[in-house]
Amino acid sequence: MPASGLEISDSPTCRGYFGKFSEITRHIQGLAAEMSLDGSSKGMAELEAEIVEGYLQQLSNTLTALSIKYLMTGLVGGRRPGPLAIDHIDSGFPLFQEVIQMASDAGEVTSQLAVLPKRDALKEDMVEHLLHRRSPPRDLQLAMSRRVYCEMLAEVPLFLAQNPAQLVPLGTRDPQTRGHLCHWAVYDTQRNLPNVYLMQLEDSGERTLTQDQRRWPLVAEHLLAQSLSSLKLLTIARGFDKDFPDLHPQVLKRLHLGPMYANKLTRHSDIVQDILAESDDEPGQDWVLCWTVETLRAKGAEKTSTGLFSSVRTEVYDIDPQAPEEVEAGASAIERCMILPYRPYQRLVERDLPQLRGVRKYVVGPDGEILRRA
Amino acid sequence: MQDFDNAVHLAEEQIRLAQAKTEAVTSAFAGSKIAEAESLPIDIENADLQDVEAHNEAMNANIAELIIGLDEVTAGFSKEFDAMRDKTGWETLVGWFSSDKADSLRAERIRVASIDDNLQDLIGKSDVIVAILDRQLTTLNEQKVKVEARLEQTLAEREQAVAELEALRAELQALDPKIIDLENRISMTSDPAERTRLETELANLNTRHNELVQSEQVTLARSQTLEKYIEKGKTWVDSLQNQAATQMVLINKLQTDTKQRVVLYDALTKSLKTAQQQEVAHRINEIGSQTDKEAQAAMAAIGAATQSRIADMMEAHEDNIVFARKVLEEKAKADERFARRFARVVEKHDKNLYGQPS
Repeated sequence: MPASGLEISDSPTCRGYFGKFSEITRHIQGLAAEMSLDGSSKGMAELEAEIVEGYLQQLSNTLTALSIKYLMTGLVGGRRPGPLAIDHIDSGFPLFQEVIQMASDAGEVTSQLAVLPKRDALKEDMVEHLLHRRSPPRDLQLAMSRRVYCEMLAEVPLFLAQNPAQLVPLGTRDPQTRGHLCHWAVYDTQRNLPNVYLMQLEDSGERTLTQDQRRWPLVAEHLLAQSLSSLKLLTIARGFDKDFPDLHPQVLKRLHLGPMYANKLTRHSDIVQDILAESDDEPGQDWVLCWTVETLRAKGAEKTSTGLFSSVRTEVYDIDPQAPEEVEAGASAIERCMILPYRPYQRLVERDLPQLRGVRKYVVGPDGEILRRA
Repeated sequence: MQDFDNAVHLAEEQIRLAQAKTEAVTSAFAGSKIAEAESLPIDIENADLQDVEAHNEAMNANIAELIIGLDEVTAGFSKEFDAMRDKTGWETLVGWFSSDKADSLRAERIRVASIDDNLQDLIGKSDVIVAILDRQLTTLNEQKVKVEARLEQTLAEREQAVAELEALRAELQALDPKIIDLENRISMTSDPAERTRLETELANLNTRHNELVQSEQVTLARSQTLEKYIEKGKTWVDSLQNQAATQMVLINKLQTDTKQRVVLYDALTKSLKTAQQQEVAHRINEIGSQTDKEAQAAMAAIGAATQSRIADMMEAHEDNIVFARKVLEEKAKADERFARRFARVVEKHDKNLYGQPS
């Protein structure tokens, strides 16, 4: 259990950490399509890519907001803004408390903005301070960072601890059933990583789910409450199928974004440690971001009788009994990917690690272009 | 949650009162701009200080109750946990007819169980208390700076007064032989004109002497006033510092507590849900009760921390003058009462006597 994590309380480390993240999120924005790639149809792939890209943008906003919240860490006395807590062992991302706290801060934002001085006033005071006292106006900078943080919370879509489910209607093959794509996201509290969920479901209810004020709130609540990384996809899908007899999950995907490894910030295995340390001589080359996509597909459905005259449709999921990892994870397919700059990639290739052979690798080239290496 | 809102309201009201009282004393020290002995407020008597102390004591006890009042929120958690572990009355009833049906009802309930709202509530409430304490801390520090600045100024004035006093005494001492000499000469002289001249001179010297003695008394009085003021100012700075330390201890404790609670309760719910659904064996009961015990022990530690802080201060001012020490001793006693009050609050809570008159 990541109770405390690592507390970053000095300014250069804190800014370096967020600097690294903003570089990484810039690179992965374009990879949304790869993260959700669906073989079934081009339209579906594009839709999923769009959704994932939206979440990545929100995640990037959340990290930027945190970087502003902790901008003055280590530079001003007093208790605020305090140290930034990250999970430096498993995920490399900020501890989930930071994200939960942000939701709490967002609730206070209107009253805060009313009290905090305006940007223009702060800028004038800064000029005044610089001219007369000839020292950095730390307290004013702190006030400014709080102002900007609150403004961000109020204006920008953020990736919060829980991002409620949304529904996209899909075209239907069968006139009896309607298709929906449901998506939601959580910041997983057990592993301190963002999780994005995508579920294609068939709807055989009388009213379509998008307009059903009775079922939809229940569905949304159920899905968020079940979004634990410790639950297998199979458990989630089966539970959902059971609780909502006229909704039939066809495909359930879970994207685990992370862990992120950064040299000198996170603790990781010796191999990663060595590779990142060797790539240290050139700035911006010492990080790796991994992600995993789990997919569960239905391969058919069967009628289960629930009484003398009634029966209910139960989905049967496609899990290859010969694949131990998939059986263990309760998923049809697991795809692991990583993105890293070219220098650590070269070190990686030199070592030819067998455990990384199944991992799809994306490499950031010297000019920032992304090359794909299977 | 009506109780919590009321408690917050009460605490805010008390803090406002405390701030008014504290500010009154501070402005008595630091308010007057004229740096003259006559304008110094010498009427800051023990009573004023004690009044503030007594009020702070009551206020802090209230805040301690507020912090323990967070348990109201956490009580919500244990209900959720119990609900996840046990069957509801309906499920038990259904279980008489079909245990499968009862299990499936329970499984359905667990699938939608979530404590995220409670967690958010806990964090929100904790933030509210921290914000109150934070404002109080800021006020205290501001006042401390004010009083210290004024104190520094007064110390300089006192130095000046002492120097003046010494100069006066030196002049007085120099006058004494002159007067004796004149008196001798008057007694020996027989020429009336000479005698009159010497007597005039002696009268002048005596006038000067009297003037000097008078201004010595005035300067001495001024110096004493300043000294008294400095002693009281020091005591007040100590008091402010002590209050600030208490606020910091409370803030720190509250934040740590909330952080730990969030982590533990979140992990607890999630492992319960996972275990129930994926049949992983977990010994969860111990985690839950252990948390509460730790939280209670931690609350008791607040009292102890405040106490040791005061002991440090007593030592640091070992060489202070008797008066100041006496006030400090009084303060230590008050603080002891304060610590005891904390202990009582904790004890009350432990025994579940909460809300009953003690």
